[in-house]
Amino acid sequence: MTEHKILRVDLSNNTFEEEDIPPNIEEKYLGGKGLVAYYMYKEIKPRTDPYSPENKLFIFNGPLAFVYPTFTKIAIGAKSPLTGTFCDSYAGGSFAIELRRAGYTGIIVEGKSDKMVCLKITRDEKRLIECDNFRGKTTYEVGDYFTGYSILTIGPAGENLVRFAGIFIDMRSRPLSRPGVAGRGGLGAVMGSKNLKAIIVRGWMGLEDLGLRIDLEKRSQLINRYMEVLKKEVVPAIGLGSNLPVFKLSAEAKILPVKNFRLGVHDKWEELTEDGWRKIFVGRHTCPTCPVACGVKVREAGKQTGKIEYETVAMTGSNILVVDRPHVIELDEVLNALGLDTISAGNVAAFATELVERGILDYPLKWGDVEGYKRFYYDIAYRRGVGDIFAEGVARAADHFNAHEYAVHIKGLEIPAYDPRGVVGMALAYATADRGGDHLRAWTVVAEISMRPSLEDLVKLVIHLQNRNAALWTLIACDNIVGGFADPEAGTKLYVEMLNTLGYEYDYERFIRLGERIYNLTRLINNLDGIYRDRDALPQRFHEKREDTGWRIAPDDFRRMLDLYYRYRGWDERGAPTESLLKDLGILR
Amino acid sequence: MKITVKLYGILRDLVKRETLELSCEDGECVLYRIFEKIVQTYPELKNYINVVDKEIYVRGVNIIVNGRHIMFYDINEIVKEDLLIDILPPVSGGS
Repeated sequence: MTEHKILRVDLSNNTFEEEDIPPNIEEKYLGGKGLVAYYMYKEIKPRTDPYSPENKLFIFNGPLAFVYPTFTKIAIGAKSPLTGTFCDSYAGGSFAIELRRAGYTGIIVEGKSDKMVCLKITRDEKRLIECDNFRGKTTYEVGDYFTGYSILTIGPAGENLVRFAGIFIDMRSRPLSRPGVAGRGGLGAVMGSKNLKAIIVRGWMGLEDLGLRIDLEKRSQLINRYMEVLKKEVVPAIGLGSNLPVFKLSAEAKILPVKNFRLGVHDKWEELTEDGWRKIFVGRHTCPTCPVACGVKVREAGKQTGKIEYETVAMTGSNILVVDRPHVIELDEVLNALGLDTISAGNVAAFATELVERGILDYPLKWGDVEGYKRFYYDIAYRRGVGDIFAEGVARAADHFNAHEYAVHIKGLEIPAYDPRGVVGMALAYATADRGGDHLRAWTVVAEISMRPSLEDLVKLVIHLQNRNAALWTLIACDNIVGGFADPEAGTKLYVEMLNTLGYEYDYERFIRLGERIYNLTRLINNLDGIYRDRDALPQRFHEKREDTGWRIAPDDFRRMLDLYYRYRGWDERGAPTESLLKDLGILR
Repeated sequence: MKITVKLYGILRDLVKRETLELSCEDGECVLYRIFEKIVQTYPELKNYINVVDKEIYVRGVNIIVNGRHIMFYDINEIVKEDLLIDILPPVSGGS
């Protein structure tokens, strides 16, 4: 047993192969996002149809999974059906740890099964199980069936190739640990296109079985230090959990998405704040090994969910004017069961409602119409009627209705819950995110640092955060924890120390450089798929004056920002890394 | 020149006012000087905005001047119109 092994599963031929990750590659890309990017670049040809058997699903944990507490997230990647770009998405839960305990750093799923199957990995067997009886089952139903395993599954939306279907981990009606969702980019539809309903894993190894060369004494000291940081900094910052404290701050800053990003606040926002959710709080969930327990379980008026988060509350709450908690819970549960990304779904619903309001679409839907939205989401998941059009995501639906001026997305990925007309750094972060309109590559909405509000400083901040986060996603550090560090640089250095107890020789600068290598590699992948400057563009809505405040981002201002970004990145005017930069970063073509 | 400053969230709570009214004389109406004046008049804002050596520094806040983010302005340029300045509070604590 070597330390870093991949299980390669060919669904077309029902074959399994184990292979070692070459040590030089593992050292250069570590895990998680790094290995997803490396293998995607190496194995998927440019312009591969995301729904073809040639697309692959890459599932990787990181080198600290199971070795140190809180490294519970799993990286899942593929060519995205929503954007056609590189896509990676991360989910908590038990899967990363169980996969590690099964002796694997990653799984690569390729080909396509001719029947619906589930992949089972236990000490006794690795095999594909026929799963036709699970066709149409919700994420919860599948999770409830496979008790005793960590489960990664899709819902009906993934089976029906909805382009914003997610992949769900440990979804159960009575969850034992915090469920996780790799929601973004339609990776659930890639699973669906392969006729793969679920992967179930039960690991069996202990730490001593993994063949690690680890300094146990140092590990123990670092864990103690880390626990202190979590207790003193992260737990207080997380508040109730699930990023819910952000709602009030976004509303007060008037950057909340309301009515398809036409407004930045609504008059009933207080019900959806952290204080509002605290009134109906009934418990917490946590990922295995994590003491933070950021998963929030709530119940009100007979509705309950074990998975409520800021993005969901804002996108499928305030953005469609559903502003009372029980109804937000109800919609959240529908989306989770069907297997849809709540960020994209909230955008799609808001876009559709605006089309109805403007007389472009004839469909029974209006702002705040909970029953209407429930029906709409079911229509999408099962591709019924107009649901078939909106199952394609906002960008393609906008093509259909010739309504691009109301479509809020970048590169096809619908925008998360921060209006960048108030926090302009997010405009650049969204536009240059490697998977499309995404907030996690560089969450510039940070208060911890004092800086000049200058273009130069902001562009440098975006680049630094993108590089740093790409590096952290090799480990795979939980965003919720990193977001709670009082000193993110010190927190990152602590992680580097943890890494080095495994025999690596990283320092902070080299670690950030690793992130830069990965970010340039994902850009290269996107370049090869035809993604250049013209796709690093904002939705028209953000160039227009907002209805309530008059804020806008002028096209010329955005152009200046993007020019500077390319210059500081070392990219040419088309937005491509130069050959010399790629060489310096050790990216071989 | 008339300057209207709108505060939101914690900034409004700190200053105990939602709207501040200031003015500046011709020749003084340069953005960094306007912010110097705002912070001198309302020192409660100093934790979030500071002006040092003709440079504005912010901690987490976003500033929007006449609908356009301050970073797109030359803060040494003379302002020739009335200003509406929105100062957005920090949005931290999540990811």
